[in-house]
Amino acid sequence: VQNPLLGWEKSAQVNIGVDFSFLKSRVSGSVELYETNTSDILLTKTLPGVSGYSQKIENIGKTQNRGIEITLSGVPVEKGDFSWSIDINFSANREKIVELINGKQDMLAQRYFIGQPLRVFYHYQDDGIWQNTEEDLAEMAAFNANGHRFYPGTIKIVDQPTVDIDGDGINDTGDFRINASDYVVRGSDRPKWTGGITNTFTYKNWSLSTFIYARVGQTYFGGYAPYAGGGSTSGRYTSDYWSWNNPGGKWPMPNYGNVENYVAAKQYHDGSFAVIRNISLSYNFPQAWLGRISLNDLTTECSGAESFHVWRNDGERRY
Amino acid sequence: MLKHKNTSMKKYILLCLLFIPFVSCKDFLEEKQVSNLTQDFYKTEAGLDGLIRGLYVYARVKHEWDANGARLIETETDAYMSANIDWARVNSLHYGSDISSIASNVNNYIGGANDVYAPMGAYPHINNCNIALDIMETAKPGKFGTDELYASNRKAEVLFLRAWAYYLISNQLGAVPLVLTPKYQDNGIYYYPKAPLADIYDQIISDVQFAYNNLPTGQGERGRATKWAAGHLLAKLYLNRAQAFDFQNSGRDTS
Repeated sequence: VQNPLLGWEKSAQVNIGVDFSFLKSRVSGSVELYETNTSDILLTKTLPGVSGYSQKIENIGKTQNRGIEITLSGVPVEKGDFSWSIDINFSANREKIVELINGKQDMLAQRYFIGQPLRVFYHYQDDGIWQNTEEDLAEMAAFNANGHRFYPGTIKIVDQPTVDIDGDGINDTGDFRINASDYVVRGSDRPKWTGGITNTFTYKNWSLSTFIYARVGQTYFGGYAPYAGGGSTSGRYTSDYWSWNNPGGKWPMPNYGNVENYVAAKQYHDGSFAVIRNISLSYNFPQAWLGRISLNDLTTECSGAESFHVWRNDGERRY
Repeated sequence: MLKHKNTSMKKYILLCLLFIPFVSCKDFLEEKQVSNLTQDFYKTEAGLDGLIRGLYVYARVKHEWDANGARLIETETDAYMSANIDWARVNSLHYGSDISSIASNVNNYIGGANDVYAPMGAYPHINNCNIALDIMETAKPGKFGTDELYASNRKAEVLFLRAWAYYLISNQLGAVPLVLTPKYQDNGIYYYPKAPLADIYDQIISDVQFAYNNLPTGQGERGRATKWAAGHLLAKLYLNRAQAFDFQNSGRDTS
């Protein structure tokens, strides 16, 4: 349905920044703090069908963005023909939803949660693999009595507390059913911080430069082990499956049978990484040579733009 | 990187750059938005005609059709199963366990699914019928104002299609709200009391009687409702009412 009152989203932003430079400009940089409050966010409201319309777009909802951006440049060494300079940039951002269609109420169907970033992963929490122990077998029996098909070697899901036994208003035990009430926020694809360092070494006409980039704190979804073991399309080779002889195995027992595996829950990983984005070596031809052939400036450069990881927090990704 | 030392070239470039600022637009560019159609379009002859054609989307909705038929209130039983191994086994976890799907199915059936394309909900369709009737009554654009036969023909089609929606939903759900006035905008008021079946049948029988009396025996455009279609629906309505006579929710006033 049309909404003649529809308007733009509004943002109010506060910035505080400092630019600095000292030690005869050997060290310089800037620090900036910001807070953006966005209101009148466009959200779709569901209308009762009897009204003749099923949805309406309205200006409701508020979000907040807070962050810090730092850049830093320095020349630690400058001696004769040799110099080493560093450029660092760092930024961190916290995004959160403040208000939604019904005020402070989460919008479950859209996966919008008050206090969380706009995009979150919302799924079951995994808790390792069901073991062939007395304790686990008893717990599995309680689930299987409700129609589940758990078995030693399948993925164990956290049954979030939904039942209040002692009546104190706080849920203290699960209901032995894995269903929508057991979903939790598993993380966000937004990083906690990102940063980069560029190191440049110069010696006479030679110059070597590297750029390292890091993105830390985001959640990554994917990378499930192939069912039947062995190599997967992503090129990873996995052999650490649970089996009766390998109860410490990371992945569930390969099984096409009548058992239950919530494979999605096992695929949320810490996606933090640091990569070398660029390495380049360049040579600046001397003026004296160039003058003869009417050239102002000539540089030859050899660079590798193919990035490769120098650090990764999660051992599951191999591609 | 190579750079040529060429001063005469530089002069030309500088000359070119000098002229660029003087070549500019005097007026702001006026943007003509053609993609934005509003409901005002229905108040033109072409718009109203298009709206009435569009109403036929709802003719695709039938009892037999999936979510409007067995799946509406008999999901997850042996009467209706999804082609999925877990459902096909109908084990204790699945058998009739999640009645919430009935609520969402009914919601989709009467209007929650969408208000734009097939299979659309009944009330968005009914509202579109009411908008068409209102514009035929008030604005009477073009031929709808000048050609009386054309106008009554189109009105009969709309009444026929609105009655079809009420026939379907009252069959499945019993007493439902009887909405006969158009709603052009959402006003935040959602008070829709159910009307007794007797009132609904009085309304749709008189609507289809109008359709039967005003529709031609053959339409120039294939697919439009004819006198025979209206007669067929009218017979169905009479039979339905007579059949239900002995039951509690009889469409006929038995008091």
